[in-house]
Amino acid sequence: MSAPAPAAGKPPAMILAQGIHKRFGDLEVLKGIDAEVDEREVVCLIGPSGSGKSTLLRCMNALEKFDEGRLTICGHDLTGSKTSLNAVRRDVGMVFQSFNVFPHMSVMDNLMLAPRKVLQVSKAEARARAMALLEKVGLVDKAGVYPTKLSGGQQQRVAIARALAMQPKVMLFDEPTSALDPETVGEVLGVMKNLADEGMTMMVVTHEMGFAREVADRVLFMDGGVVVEQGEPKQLFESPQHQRTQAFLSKIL
Amino acid sequence: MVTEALSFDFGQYMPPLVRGAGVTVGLVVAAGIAGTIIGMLFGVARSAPLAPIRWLASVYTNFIRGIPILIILLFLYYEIPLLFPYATFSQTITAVIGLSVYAGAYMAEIFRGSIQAVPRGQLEAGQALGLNYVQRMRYVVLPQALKIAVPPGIGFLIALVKASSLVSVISATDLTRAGRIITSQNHQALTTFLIVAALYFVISYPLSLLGRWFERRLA
Repeated sequence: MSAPAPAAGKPPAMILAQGIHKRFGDLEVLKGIDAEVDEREVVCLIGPSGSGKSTLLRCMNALEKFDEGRLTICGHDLTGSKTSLNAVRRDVGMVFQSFNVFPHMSVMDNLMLAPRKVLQVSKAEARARAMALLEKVGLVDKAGVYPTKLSGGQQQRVAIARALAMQPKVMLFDEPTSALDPETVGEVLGVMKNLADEGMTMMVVTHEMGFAREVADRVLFMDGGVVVEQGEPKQLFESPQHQRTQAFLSKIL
Repeated sequence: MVTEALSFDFGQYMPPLVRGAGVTVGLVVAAGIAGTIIGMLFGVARSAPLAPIRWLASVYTNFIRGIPILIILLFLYYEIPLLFPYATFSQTITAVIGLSVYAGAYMAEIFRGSIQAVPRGQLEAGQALGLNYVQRMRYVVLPQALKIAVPPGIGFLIALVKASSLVSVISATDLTRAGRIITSQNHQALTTFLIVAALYFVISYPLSLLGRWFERRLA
């Protein structure tokens, strides 16, 4: 699943964002973001709503265009207009808050569509790959089922498997458990933790501080369109340096 | 009124009325199919990423929807022979063309609305998976949009059954014109047009039932 081993020395960052600015009309939602995610690293993005976390994540697979700055991901330079966005997205998996599974297709077809049409994988191989992924997310018995028959947690696991079916080098998660019933949050976080343990490079926008503390290698706290503070989870959660971080954490922990 | 109905010669007048009803069904089926195809193309074009394509498509739909079907039919009937002297279309073919052009514009609006009704997240999921525009439309958006378009599409077809009665002005012998020809012979307008009305109902009511069945299934 993980990317091929890099040459000796420090491998280049999987995601490198430098001075990212993003405006929606007059509203500047990203005010110069620097961020770096190394291979096999799990980075959690936390912060109040409206702080720009999701926008930053969506810039990383070009669902949003940014106005200034440089952004490279998996070796693709998103700054240049010549970059094929579809090529970038082939390497970058994304999981949405609202699942966005395809309701008119069975679970199996959800997983087979992109590998078949984008990567031109044979039907047999796409099916085998899909079954292996369903095994991984614990939904083998749901292969022929339509997503509307599934719970939110199951739908989100399908969405994760669907993204993994493209064998991405990086996975982006945009508040993957925010729309879930509390009792199904755990099953989704469990799948994500396994993925992290396998060495997947991940960037996760989340309000699940327990997950961030346990799984993340690094946590970025964003507020008002800037990265206020970042560090290892233990350090950031237990001894936040910045006052805004302290205020945020005291409210939600 | 009762005596008029009793003296109505069903043996003589029913066959031409049924034939007229057949023409009406044929017109609606042909224009319904052509209009659906035109509507799909223009509906997709109206949500295309390229502005000029969107603009061209909206010119067609807005223009046609802004003029009465009667004028479209009369224009085609009188002007096409002048513009294309060698094109000899029968009244029925002219009627099919007119109704198709009309239906296409309305169907395009229905498809445009249906495409927009597919949640944005579906499109983004397709993008995030690396599907290109054509693939996103074909595999993700359109299958869902078509489902959404069915109830309003059937509603429009019911309206089209009734709008098709206007083709009688260009002498296409549909159900309405068949009724008018008969009344000019027997002067039994009441009975004749009651029968005409009943036949229209027989054509459109099954469509209503179909529409209701679909809505229940989608709900």
